[in-house]
Amino acid sequence: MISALSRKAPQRISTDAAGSVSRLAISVLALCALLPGLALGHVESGIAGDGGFISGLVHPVTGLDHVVAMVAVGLWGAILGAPAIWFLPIAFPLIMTVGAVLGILDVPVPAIDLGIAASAIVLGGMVTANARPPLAIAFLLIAFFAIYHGHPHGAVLPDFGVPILYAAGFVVATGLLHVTGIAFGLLYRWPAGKTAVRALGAGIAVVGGYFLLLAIGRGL
Amino acid sequence: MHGILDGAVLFFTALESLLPVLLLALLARRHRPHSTTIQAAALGIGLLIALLGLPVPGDPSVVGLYARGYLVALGLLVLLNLRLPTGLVLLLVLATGTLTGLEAGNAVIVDPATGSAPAIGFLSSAICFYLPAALIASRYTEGWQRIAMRVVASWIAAIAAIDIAFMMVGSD
Repeated sequence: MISALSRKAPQRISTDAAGSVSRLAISVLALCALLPGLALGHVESGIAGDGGFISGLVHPVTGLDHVVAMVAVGLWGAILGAPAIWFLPIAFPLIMTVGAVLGILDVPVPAIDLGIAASAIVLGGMVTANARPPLAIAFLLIAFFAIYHGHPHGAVLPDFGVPILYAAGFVVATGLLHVTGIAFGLLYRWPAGKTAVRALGAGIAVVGGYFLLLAIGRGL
Repeated sequence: MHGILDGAVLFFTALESLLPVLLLALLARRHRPHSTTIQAAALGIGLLIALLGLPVPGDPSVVGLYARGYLVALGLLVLLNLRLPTGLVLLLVLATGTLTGLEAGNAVIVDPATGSAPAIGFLSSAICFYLPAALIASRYTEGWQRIAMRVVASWIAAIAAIDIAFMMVGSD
């Protein structure tokens, strides 16, 4: 038994050492993560100013129609389960980027407001109806709407500090909205949570309907 | 740029420098941890090649476009979760170092009076960031951890793609 323990001892020490190295590495990285804060002192950094990270971060959450649709993507992914739970929230920002690029390059996309409102109605409806289409169909659906959501972000160019920081804020905010939807959607495994998630889906569809009426009122 | 600290701070405050190195760490996570040291050395060599002498061919702003296009490709590689051959990873590390160094070159080597101090600060920061990031990434490879890394890679690819479009509009 003693010999068995002595054989395990170096392994134990090695694991402890690896744990210490890992904790040290995490601490070092955490300190590194604080360093970009130094850039707040630079006017040209764009982090605090217009067209920087904060501008990009705020942009997706300033429109309720955008917010509800992106939360709906997360909710729907959570309902569909793996792999949709991570695939849809990865695919949406990537395809949305294509829309943003089209907007930046001034390539017109027809009936933007209508498309965004329709996305909230359709995605909210999918959540409410507990729709479970094949992953490819779900992907095509969200890819279609992602173009509509990305285009206005690119078309409305802010007065830039640092474009890459704006892009980072914009993508991170979009991703976090999906994560919010996923987090809420995980309640779906409990009966009361299922009702709450489907009710939220219905609410999203109603919000989409409101924006659809507004878009129609404005003549699209 | 007045010294080593300026170069070091530049690396951590410029996303165009930080993100490629972060992606590299995520890309190399599927390889044995001991190869991380060799990769860090390759990153340093790539940066050195760029910072200390490689002339930028043509318009220097084009380097940014290439660097961002490369960042999109790197992000998609991590997203696809491929296990690349060790040699190819080393080559990618070297290429990343060279591209990052070329892009940062103008900011780091702007004043001949400061010599190579900012470049040394920049290079040291890149390696000091890469080593722990790659080691951490290689330890967390299961389930949600792997998915989180792929999500981060997809976000970085998206950021780079948007930046390419901004660059194209800006160069008009």
